Amino acid sequence: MDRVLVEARGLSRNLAGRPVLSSVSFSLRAGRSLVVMGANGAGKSTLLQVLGGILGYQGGVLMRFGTPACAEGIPDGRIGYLGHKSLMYPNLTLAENLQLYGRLWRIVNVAQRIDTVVRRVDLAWWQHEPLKRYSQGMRQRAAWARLLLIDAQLWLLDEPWAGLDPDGRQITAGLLRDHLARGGGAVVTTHRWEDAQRLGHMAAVLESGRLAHWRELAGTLAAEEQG
Amino acid sequence: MQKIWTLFVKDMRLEARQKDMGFLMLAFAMMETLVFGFALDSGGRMQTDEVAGILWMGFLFAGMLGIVRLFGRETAEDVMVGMAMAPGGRLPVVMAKMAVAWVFCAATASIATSVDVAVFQVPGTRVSVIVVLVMLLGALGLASVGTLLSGLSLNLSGHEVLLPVLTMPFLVPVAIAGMEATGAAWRGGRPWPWIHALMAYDLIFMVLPLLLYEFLWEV
Repeated sequence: MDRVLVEARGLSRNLAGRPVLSSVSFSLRAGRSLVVMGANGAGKSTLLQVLGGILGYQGGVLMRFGTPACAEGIPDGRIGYLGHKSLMYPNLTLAENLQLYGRLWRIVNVAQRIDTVVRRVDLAWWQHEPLKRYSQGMRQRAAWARLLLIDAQLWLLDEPWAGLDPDGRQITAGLLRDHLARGGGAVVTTHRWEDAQRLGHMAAVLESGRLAHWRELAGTLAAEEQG
Repeated sequence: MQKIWTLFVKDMRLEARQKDMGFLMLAFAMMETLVFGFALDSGGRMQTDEVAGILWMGFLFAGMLGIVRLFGRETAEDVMVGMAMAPGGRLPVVMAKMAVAWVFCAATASIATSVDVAVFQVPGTRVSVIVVLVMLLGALGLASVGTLLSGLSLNLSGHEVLLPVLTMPFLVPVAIAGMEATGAAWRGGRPWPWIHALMAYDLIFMVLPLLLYEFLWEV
């Protein structure tokens, strides 16, 4: 569990000529989660996209799984990203979308894995329906199913509970807890302090492009893990 | 290669289900041929150069319709991000899109050529392998330029309106070389200088996306 999954030192990134991230530094060990909070437009999503290699960075150092990540932004198959959209084709069914991701990630026994993950997010009955017929909350669950399927070590979760009902929030909180217990890591953005307290090991606020107001958390999640 | 193939098959499956790209291109090319067929009804055979012009004009505009929709299925749910994050890197995503665009452009070109030959009574003996080669090269030019510019303009507002305006100037050389080569092949002239020009153009625009594909995710 002492393995560092991701480490940023003085990370900076401009968007449209405006500094969004400036000198962001942190490290995340296996089995731990970091909750990033901040106002709208503070750069939380940009931070996750830079960590995931979706966007490049302009200054500082980014280490992922112990090796320096290219400044141009190179994605890594060991990273799972859950953004504001499902990243799935609306005209394909959930099962077809997951098969596509399974083939891209070269997952063995993909049919069996799909069956398992759709049950875990409680979408087994809906897996053969096109995604365009899903409600917002169901799409969010589908996105969680995609995340579970690829079995990534580092999860980057951008407001992962948006649109979920209480049942969905409980299910996905359990998924995050299991992931961390298995030695995975997660960087999570949220606006809700209750979520941060419940699910994070550490919390920080992204303010003026920097992570500030660090706080160690010992919320429900940590208590459940110890239990 | 596996990632390119997986993404290519996925696009084919989506097209088979939605029929919003290939069908549109083909319908436009056919309508253009029929309209010109009636408008220029001369009661006999037209000059091969004129038919080549009609064919290439229809093909380019039909191709443009397809190119505009090339990344359309990915925009609604940010699927490009998911595809790019998969093992194998981002280049296969662009290559797969280029392959899809080429297949649809080549299919449209092949069918449009056959229909034009029939409607405008181009002598059958001159519908040679050379014409097929010219159309395939033209399709490659359209697909490579279109994929690059469609990807680059994906996140711009008014993408669907802007893309044809951006793309058309780059396709003028393809149109000229294609028309000249097709006309020369049909009338028994020397198409090879124009075919070589098409090959050179295709090469440039096949290499450019390989150099610039990283920017597709940044704009």
